[in-house]
Amino acid sequence: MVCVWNALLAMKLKGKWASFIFGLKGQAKKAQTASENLDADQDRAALLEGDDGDAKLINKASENRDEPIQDRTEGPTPFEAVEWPNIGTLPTIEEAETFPAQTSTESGRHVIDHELKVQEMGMEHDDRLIVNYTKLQLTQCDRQLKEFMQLCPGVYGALISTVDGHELLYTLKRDLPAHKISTMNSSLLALGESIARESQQRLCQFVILENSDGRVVSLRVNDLLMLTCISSKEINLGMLLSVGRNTASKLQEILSD
Amino acid sequence: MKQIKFIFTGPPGAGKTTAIAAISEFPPVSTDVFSTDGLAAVKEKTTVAMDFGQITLDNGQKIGLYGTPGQQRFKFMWDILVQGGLGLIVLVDNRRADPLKDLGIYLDNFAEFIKSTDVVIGVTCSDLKETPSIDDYQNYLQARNQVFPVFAIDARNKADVLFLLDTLLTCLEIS
Amino acid sequence: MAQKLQLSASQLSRSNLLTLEIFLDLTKKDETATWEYTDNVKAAAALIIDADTDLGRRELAQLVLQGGRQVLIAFSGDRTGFPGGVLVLPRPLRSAELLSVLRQASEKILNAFQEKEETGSPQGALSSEGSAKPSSVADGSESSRRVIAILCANQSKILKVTDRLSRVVIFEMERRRYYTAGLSQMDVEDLIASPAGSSRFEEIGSSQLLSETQNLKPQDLEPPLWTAALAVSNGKLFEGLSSTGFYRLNRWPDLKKLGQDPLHLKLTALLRRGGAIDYFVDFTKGSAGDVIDFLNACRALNCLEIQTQQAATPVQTPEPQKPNTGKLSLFSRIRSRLGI
Repeated sequence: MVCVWNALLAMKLKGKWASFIFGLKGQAKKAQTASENLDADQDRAALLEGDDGDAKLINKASENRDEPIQDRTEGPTPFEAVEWPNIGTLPTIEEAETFPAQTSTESGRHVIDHELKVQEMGMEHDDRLIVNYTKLQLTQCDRQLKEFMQLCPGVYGALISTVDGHELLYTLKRDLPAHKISTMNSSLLALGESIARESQQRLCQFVILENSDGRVVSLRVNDLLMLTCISSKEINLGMLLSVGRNTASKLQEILSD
Repeated sequence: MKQIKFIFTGPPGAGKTTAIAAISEFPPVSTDVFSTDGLAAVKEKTTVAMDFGQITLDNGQKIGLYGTPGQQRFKFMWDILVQGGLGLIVLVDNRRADPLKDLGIYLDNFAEFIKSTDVVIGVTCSDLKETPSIDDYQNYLQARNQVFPVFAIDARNKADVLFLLDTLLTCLEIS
Repeated sequence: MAQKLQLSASQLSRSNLLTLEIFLDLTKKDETATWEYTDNVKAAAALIIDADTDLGRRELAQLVLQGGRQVLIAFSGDRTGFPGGVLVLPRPLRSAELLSVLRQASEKILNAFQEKEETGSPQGALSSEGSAKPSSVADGSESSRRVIAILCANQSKILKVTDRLSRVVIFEMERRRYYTAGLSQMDVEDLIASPAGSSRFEEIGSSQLLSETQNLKPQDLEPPLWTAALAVSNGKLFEGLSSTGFYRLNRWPDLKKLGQDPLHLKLTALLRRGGAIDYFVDFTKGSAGDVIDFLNACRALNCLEIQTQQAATPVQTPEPQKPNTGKLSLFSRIRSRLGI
């Protein structure tokens, strides 16, 4: 196994390391959609290996590329490679990675899903986000999401996304369309805030979707970001809101620089 | 009384919110948030749910003026907003890289709605960028076997927006 | 021989007055009547009054009561509410609408003059050159001898036209542009409406176009073409159009820059569905002359598809649909609320 790991590092496989490890060749070969697809593995590899020292999470450009990448990184921080504690075993649900385009099935196996359905057909502006966070910040945010999931076992999805609908980081225990959820919740949060204003009330704190078998709660982190929590009815609403608010506050602190 | 509405759509920055503001009896309720992608180079904020304006008729009936988000990832909102709509106003920003393609995308995405109602097209910022010309837009529509009204307008100008509505109403009256 | 008629104005603003005098030049080519401006209100055959002013409204009411021989024209933002017999010139002042109203005025005046002649009454306020009888209404086939007919027949070509004063205009028909040095849009309209015999035509290629227009800016051909077509139309179909033909729009004319006439807007929407002239007249409850003028203008702009009627294949006109009165009422209320 150590030899396998060394071989991997030596080869710097960027697209297929997971499928290599898990033997999921077929899924690794899922056809990529048109050039607008996020190439999650490339980004992930860049994140892992710090290829260019750039700590910014960058989405692949869409067709309508008008602007060059805005590199606003200040003093890039090299990112240390993730250590795999048990290289010979499959990671468990609790260790689910929180990078874009990565989901875990209900069975707990990690699956790298190459088939991101980006629906923009050349209509969108450059999809590269201009939010400027270091890898350290993102790792800390990732940790917060994991802690949140641990504190609230009924929660099966936590997403950090931009207020205009782009997903940034997420942790999901089910196969959910993170992109769609991020987009739709951005609309919902904005509507909630507008309704609050029109009702002469301030500071919309939560937008809560109460469904028959679960809840979706969205709240703002800062001017640019929001947090969405998806849970079953297992967890008490009060607890969900409380932990959610605390998590958002911590995220705000982490990202306030 | 069922609410009726006109829908304003088009790519980001085309002037939908502005056009609604030009004729709405109150400043439109907007759901604008900061842009975090390449659009930020063009516009600081973008609509993520809808713009909402209104006019009230003499019998008290309200006509909603709804602006859709421009990005296609919000297509689910387009489908929600067109329900019960009287007609569509597509605003196209002539400064964009390929405004004809933009127009085609909106005509395709709203094809069913246009078929049951009608559409009028306003080209904004043609004073800032002359090509494509209105003639080019008409050639483009002709190539698609479509005949729709297309005019150069300033979304800030109430008379221009009213002219679009006048044209749309005439088309609806005839159909 | 065209009758020379005089027009005066009352309560018009200075700018409208200046515009009016300029627009009156467009009637120079009319075969029925030409108009000139006079300050002598009493001597004028027709009088335009700004009916949106208090003084104007009172003056109009007074003149209607007096029942004089003058043709009264109300210049107003309202189209209805005026006594019968008063012609309405919609605000703002546009050449196409002015010409249409002046045509109606001249018909009224000439008909009245003819009646007086038949009954032996003294001559009215007409002045004419030589002939006391009004000339016959211009035969629309006159268009076939005008520059506009040549342009319409050569929609894909580049034509260099030199008028009798050696002024040159290059018409790039396919792109609907023209190039000229020194001629105003009105001059170009006059040229387009003028008899073809007084100009010289030359087809040129794109390289010659480039060399001859190096220092010239392309200008939009549609407004002068549209205005000239309406001016010379006179209710008679242009060459190539038939009174029994089926017409359909193949591209929407940019009415925003072509006058924003509500009737034209309605006709455009109708024409998109397609139909015969009778259908358009029935639907709009307008005059056949107005419909024909509009069709001629669309023809000039090459936005018309024409299917002439064959004896064996009757033209398929869409069935007039029963209007949804609820919807029409709603639209009417929306218009009223928005002021359109």
